[in-house]
Amino acid sequence: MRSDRSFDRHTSPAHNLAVMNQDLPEDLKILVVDDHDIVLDGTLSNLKEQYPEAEFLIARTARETRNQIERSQPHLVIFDLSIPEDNLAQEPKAKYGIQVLREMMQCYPELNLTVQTTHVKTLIRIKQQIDIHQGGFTIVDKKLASREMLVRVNLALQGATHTRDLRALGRSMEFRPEWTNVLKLAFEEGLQDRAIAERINVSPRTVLHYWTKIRDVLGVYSEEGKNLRIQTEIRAREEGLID
Amino acid sequence: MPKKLGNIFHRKISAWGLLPGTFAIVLVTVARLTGMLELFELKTFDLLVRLRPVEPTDDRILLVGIDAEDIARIGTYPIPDAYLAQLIETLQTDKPAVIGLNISRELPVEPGRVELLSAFAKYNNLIAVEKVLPAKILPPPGLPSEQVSFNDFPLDADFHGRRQYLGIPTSEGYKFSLSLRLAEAYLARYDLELDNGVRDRTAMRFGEVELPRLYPNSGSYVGVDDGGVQVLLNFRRNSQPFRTVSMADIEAGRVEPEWIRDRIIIIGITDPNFQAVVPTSAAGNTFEKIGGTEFQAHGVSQILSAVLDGRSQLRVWWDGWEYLWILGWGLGGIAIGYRTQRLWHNVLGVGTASVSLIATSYLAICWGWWIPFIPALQAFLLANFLDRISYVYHKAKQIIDQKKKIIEQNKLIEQTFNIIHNGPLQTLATILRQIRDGNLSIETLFSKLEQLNTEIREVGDRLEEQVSDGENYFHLGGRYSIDLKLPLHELFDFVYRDTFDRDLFHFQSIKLTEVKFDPIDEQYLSQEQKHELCCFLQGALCNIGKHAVDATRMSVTGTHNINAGRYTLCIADNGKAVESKSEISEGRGEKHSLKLEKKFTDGKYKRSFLSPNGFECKFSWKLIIALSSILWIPTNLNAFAQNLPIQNLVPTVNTVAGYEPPPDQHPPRTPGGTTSSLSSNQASFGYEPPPDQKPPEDSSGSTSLTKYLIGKF
Repeated sequence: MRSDRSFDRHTSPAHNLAVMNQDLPEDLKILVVDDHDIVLDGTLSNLKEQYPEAEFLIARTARETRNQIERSQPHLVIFDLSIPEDNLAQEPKAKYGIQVLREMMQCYPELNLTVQTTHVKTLIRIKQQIDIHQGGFTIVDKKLASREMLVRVNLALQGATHTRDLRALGRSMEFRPEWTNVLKLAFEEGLQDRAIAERINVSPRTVLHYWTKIRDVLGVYSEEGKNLRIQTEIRAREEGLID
Repeated sequence: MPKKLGNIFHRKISAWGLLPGTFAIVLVTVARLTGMLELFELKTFDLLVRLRPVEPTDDRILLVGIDAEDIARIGTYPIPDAYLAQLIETLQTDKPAVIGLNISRELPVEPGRVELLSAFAKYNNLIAVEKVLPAKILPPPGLPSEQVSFNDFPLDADFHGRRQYLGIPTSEGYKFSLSLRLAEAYLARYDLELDNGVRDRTAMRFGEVELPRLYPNSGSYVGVDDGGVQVLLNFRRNSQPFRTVSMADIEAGRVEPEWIRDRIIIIGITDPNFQAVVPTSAAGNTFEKIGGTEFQAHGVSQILSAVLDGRSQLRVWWDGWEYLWILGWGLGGIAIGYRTQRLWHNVLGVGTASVSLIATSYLAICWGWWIPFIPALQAFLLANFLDRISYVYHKAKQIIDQKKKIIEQNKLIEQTFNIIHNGPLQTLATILRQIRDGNLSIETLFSKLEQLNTEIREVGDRLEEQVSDGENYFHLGGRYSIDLKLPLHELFDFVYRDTFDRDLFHFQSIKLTEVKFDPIDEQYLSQEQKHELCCFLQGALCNIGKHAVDATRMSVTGTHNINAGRYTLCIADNGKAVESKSEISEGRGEKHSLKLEKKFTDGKYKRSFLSPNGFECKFSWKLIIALSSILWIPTNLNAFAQNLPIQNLVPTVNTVAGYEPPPDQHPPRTPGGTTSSLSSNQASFGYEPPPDQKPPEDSSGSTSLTKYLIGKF
C-alpha cells in the first residue's frame, strides 16, 4: 500500500533529471559493470545521451571491476549483480557481485552505487551494510523502464538512497535507531542539522547521510519546487513516527 | 544347554580386533629373527638345564688332574715330560681303554722328552692334543693322525660354553676333537664305528645313534658360527659328574685298579692357577665355570651315554616348528584376551597358561628337546596385553560414543522442541486467539489449518536436514536455512526478516521497526552459540507476533558495548501484553532462554514490561575469545631433540672376568691359511667329513658379542 504511494511521486522524471545534471562534477567518470554485451551497449547508449560529457569505463567481471575502481576512482558504479569472477567463460553468479559490492562499500564508503538486478531480494543479505553506506545507493530492477533506470542513476549520483524495492515486501517501515533519533530531534525539538550533529555526537555530514536514508524509507525523493525537509516532516507525521 | 559356537568368544572377532595381537606376534618374531632375544633365551636355557634332576656319576671316565699339590711337589711348571711319561706308564699297567693327554706338548719340556715320545710310540691308545684354531699349538712331533686330537671349544656370544666341536676341517686335513677321539676309541670295543649320519649326512653317528649337528639358527641361536661339526653340550647334571683323582693318587697307588681298567682316562691340569677354564652356568656349579679337562669329559660322557645308555641328547626343532610354536602361543594370548571379560579372569587364564608353558619347556628340556620358551612366553603375554589394552580402549570408546549419542539425542529433542515452538505452535496460537476473538471466517480457518499442516510436515524435513548438516545451519521457517558461518549481524538480519514476514496476528499493526545489529568479531562465537542466539531472536519475535496487542512499534537491536565487552540483544515492542503474562513467563520460550544463559560467559537474560505499554526481552553476554584461537603448539620440538647429549650407545666389550688364559697356550700367532682340499685318508674310520664344512671363526666370540650389543641398542 505504502509502496504504491511512493511510486506516484516520480511522475515526471525527465524534468527532475534536467535539474540534477547541473551540479555534477566536470570530469564525471562512470563505471558500468555487466557481463552481457547487449545489455551493456543499451545501458551505455542511454547514459551517453544523458551525460554527454562523462567518461565511461566498462568492466565485465568481478576482477575487472576491482581493478577499474582502484585505477580510475569513478564517481558512480552502475553494477550488475550477476557477474563471473575471473573471466567470461565462467558462470555469472550473484554471489560474486555481492562480494564485490561488499568490498566496494567497505573500501569506498562514499562511492555512489546503482545496482541493477533481476533479483532485488538478493540484496537483503547486505541490507545492513547498505543502511550504513554513506554514498548514494540505488537499486534498479532490470524489469524497469530505462527512464526509471536513469532516474535512479541520477539519485545515486546525488548521493541519495533508493532501496524501497528491497523492502516493498515488508509490512512496516524499518529504521535504524539513530535515524528515528534524528527525526525526533528535528521535528519534535526543532533542531537544525548542526545542532543535531552536536547532540548525537556525529559529524554534520553523517546527519546528512542519515537524512537520505530516512527519506528513502519514507519515500521522499527530491522534486522541483518542494522543500525536502518539510516533505519529510509531512510524511513522518502521516506515518505517526512523530507526534 | 549347548552353547552356540558364536558364544564361545565374548566378543565378535573382527579383523581389526586381531591387529594388536598380531602386531605382538610379529614384533616378537622379528625380535627373535634379528637375534635380540638370543641372550635371554640362552640364559633361560642354562636355568632350565640346571634345574634338571640329578644324574649318576659317569664311572666310565676317570679324570687325572695335576693339582696344586702335584705342581708344588714337582717344583716346576710346565710339568717336565718325564713326569707325564712316568704317569702314563703307571696308568697303562692297569689297562685303561684309552688315555687322553689334555696337555699340549708341541715343544719339549726337559727332562724326559725321549721317554714321552717313546710312550706315544709304544701305546696307540694314548692320544695327544693340539690346538687347531688360532693361535695354533701343534701336537708332539711324529705322531700318527689317529693319536692326535684337538681340544678347542667354541664360546657363545656371552662367552659361555654350551657347544662342543666334534671335527674341524683345517689346512692340514680334517681333525677330530679329543672328546670324539676318546669316545671313538672306547666305543670301538663295542664294535661301534664312527660313520656319517643317516638323517643328516653331515652329522656323526655311532651305530644307530646320530649326534644331532648344530646349525647357525638351531634353537635360540641366530647366525651362530657353525664351523666344523658341533653339537650342543648336554652337561651331566651332578656335582661330581666324574671320578677325579690327582697325579699323586695314581703314583701312590691310592686308586682302585677298577677305576682305571677299561676306562677312559683324561690327564689334565686341575691346578686353578694354571688350568684352562670354560665359563658356563649350564653345568650348575657355583662358580659358573668348569675346568677345560672336565669340559672335555662332559663331551665324551655325552656321546657315550647317548650311544650306550640311550641318554637323551639335546635336540632342537626345525625353525618352522619353532615359529609355529611362537605363533600358537601368541594366538593363545589373543584367544584368552577374547574369551575373558573380567580382568581377574584374564589374569587367571594368563597365569595358568604361563605356568603350563614353563612346565612344558622344562619337561621338554628333560627329554632333550630345547624348545623356544622366552619368545613363546613373550608373544603370549604381549599379544594378550595388547589385545586387552585395545579391548579396554574400545570398551571406553563405546561408552563415550554412547554418551555422545545420548547428548546428540537430547540435542535433537531440544531442537525439535524449538522448531515446533517457533513454527507450528505460533500459528496454532494465532488461530486459537482469532477463534476466541470470534473474528475468524471458515475460509481463513481453512487456509490457516492448511498452513499449519504444511508447517508440521516441514518439521520432519528440517530435522532430517539438521541431522545431516549437523550444527552448520539455522533453519528459518519453511524451506529456508542459513549458513551459520555468516557473520552474526547478517544472521540476525535474516532471522528478523524471515520471522517478521510470518503471518502472525500482531505483526500486522506494527508500522515502524527499529533494526540495528552491530557486527562483532567471529572469534567470539561458536556456531552452536550462534544457533542458540538465532533461536532466541526467532522466539522473541514470535512472542511479539503472538502477544503484543496493538503494537505499532518494534525495536530489534544487537548492540556491542565495547567498553563493557558485552553484546546485548534486545527485542522490544509497545503493545499491550496484559492478558498473557502467565503465558509469557511459563512458555517454553522462557525455559529455553534460561538455558541460554548457561551456554554463554556471564549470560544474562531479562524480560520486563515497559511503561506505559510494551514489553522488552533482553539477552546479553560477555565476549570472550574462543579458546581454540589462542592455543599455541610449539612447532620446534626438533630443537629439543637435537640438544640431547649424544650418548655412547655402544658399550666397550671387556674381557670376561675370571677367564684365565691356559698356561699351555702360546702367544697368538698370525691366523693360519684357509681350508685346503681335504684328504679323506686322514679321516678316522668310516666318517667322511662333509664337503661344505668350513673352519669355525675365532672362538673368542668377541666379534659376535659386539655385533650383538650393537644390534641390541
